[in-house]
Amino acid sequence: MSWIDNSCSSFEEVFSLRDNLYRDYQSFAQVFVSEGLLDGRLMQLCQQRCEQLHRSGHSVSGLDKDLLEALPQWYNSPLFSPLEKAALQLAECFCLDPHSISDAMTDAVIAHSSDAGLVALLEYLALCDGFARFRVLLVTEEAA
Amino acid sequence: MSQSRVRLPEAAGDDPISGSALALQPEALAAFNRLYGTLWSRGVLDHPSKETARLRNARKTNCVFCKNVRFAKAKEAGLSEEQVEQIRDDYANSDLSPRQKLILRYTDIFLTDPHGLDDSLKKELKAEFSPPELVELTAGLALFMGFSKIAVSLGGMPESLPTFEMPTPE
Repeated sequence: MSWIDNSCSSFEEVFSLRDNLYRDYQSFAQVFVSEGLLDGRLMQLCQQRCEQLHRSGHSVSGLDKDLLEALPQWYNSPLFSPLEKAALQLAECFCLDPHSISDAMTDAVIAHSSDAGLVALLEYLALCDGFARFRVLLVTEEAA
Repeated sequence: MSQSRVRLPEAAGDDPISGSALALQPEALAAFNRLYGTLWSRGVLDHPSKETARLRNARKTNCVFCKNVRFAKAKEAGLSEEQVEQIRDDYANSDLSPRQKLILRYTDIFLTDPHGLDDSLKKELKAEFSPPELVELTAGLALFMGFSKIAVSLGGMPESLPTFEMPTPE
């Protein structure tokens, strides 16, 4: 259960304590899927890496066991595409220190997608980073 | 000014958010604006509390734009520039209220070590805020931090800006 309300344990239950805010959060998160702004597997990988970095204990559904195990060492793994590697490098710097993001890192994402693709990725990382922290702080049942 | 890492869209809007590179993804920008408007104007937590958290994040994340924006309703509700000046690293020794200092402590935990939230701070937070207010504050921090980081990541910001007031998102 969450320390803020004994009747809530999941992310959805906790966030729904502010129901109109949760609905608009869901709508925002859904845009990336409904408008095809980012590849589905890329989104799963980035969210899972953010959850790992924040030790939230949350597992993103739909990722193969091999990918999950390889994710912390993505840079050495043949399982990830050049775009996925570029996005995961950006995800790590975004979570830890956005001032460490270099032109080369953003250029690598743009080279495999577009300017608009980089913007979409950064917006998605903002959600993943921010709400992984939300999960750690308020959704104690899932925290590692 | 640092170089922008993406080209700005020709059809961008004329306010600082919709005139930014975020306009390269108009559907996402529209959905974000709805979410941000709900956070600010259809919520339960008072404006000065949210603005205090937003400005603490802006300074910690070091987003030049975010640091210099002031949302109008927080100012109207009593958050003065003298108080804003005290949202700095030694806020514990400032004249800010216990409630404001509590928000700043929680904000710092959110930004630097979410696993560091201890039972003592939880007790203080529960005594000061309702559960819906705590959800709103925490979700607000997620958005404040995330979009400050986007601004930093995209580059193109000046080294400094004058302080300026904007309408509170609706």
